[in-house]
Amino acid sequence: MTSTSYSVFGVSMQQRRTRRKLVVMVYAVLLVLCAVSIAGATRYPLLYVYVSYAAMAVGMFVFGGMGQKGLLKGFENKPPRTQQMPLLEVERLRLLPKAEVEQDLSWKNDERELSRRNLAHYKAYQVVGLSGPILLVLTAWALFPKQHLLSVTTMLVMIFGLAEVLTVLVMTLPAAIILWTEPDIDLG
Amino acid sequence: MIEQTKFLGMPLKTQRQRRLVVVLYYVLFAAMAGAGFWLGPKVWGDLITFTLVLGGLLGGIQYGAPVKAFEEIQLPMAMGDGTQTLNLSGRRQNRPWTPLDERERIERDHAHYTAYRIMRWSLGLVALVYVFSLNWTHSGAKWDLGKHLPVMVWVLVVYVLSLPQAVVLWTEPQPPVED
Repeated sequence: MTSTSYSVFGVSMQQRRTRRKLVVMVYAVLLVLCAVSIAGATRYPLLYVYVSYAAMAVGMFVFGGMGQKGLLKGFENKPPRTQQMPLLEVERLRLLPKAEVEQDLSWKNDERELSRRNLAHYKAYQVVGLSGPILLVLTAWALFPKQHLLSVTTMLVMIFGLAEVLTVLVMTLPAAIILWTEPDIDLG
Repeated sequence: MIEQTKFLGMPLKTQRQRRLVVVLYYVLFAAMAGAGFWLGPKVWGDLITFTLVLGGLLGGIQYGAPVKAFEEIQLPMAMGDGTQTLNLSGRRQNRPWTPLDERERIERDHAHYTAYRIMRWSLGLVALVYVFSLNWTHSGAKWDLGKHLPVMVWVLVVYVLSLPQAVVLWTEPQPPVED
């Protein structure tokens, strides 16, 4: 978890129970957006772009992991971009011994956090990996010429819906898994 | 995590050899995808039939391949003692799957993290290309990508299934040279 932010919109997220409620609420909102996009898929096929933006925003600013904002530290474990400094100042800092330069290491994941990150991505990958064959079966069925159970348009809308949900999951699932499973944080 | 020293006659001892196998695998995959686009519905059934086999050719999701299976695969195919495997470099062997040790689990999870990142970026790129293609093509156009939807989905599925094991093969370090 990030060391600088344990709250979302002023609500403390130290307790696992609260984080789980957040995850459920966020996914409920995203699913509603997906449903709206699917309902308007035939008329407004580019609605899904807004759903993708919403999922990205959740991943970047609420759950975290994708960047420096949000509840979780950035998954890539890279330091934040420093502000623009005059060249002389950059050179002066570069020549100083490292110990003298105060460094903010709050962005850095420790070993436990890195292993949690990797495990969450492994679990999320299994979910995403399972969705792929389902998508393939639906696609094959939709275009199978002798099936008359559902129209091709209906099948294509279902495929579109599944692809959209998959997009949302790809952007948010690893962070959601960590937020869901991480124990209560004790700052005391 | 690497269980074999040879795969289809190709050695896997050095990192360079393993990376070559990964490259050749994706060249084969691209050739099959190309055939799917070119030949159309005639070959879709064949492609779909071989999805899991092709996706697991490097291992990870099936036994008997270069990369050890990430988890025990629950299939009603085990005969007798141990798990029946097909060693593509030689005779059929009975080799029981052993749970991953700590190092292998760390390697597996890290490979999935890397694969997930690659997948996220590449899917975003594909979605962008597809959206642009919708603007430039129409249902009667020669290059209407919508007509090739099954092959595109098939490519996506095999790509997703194969990526973690490709990462493992690509990043497995060179073993130290024995004196």
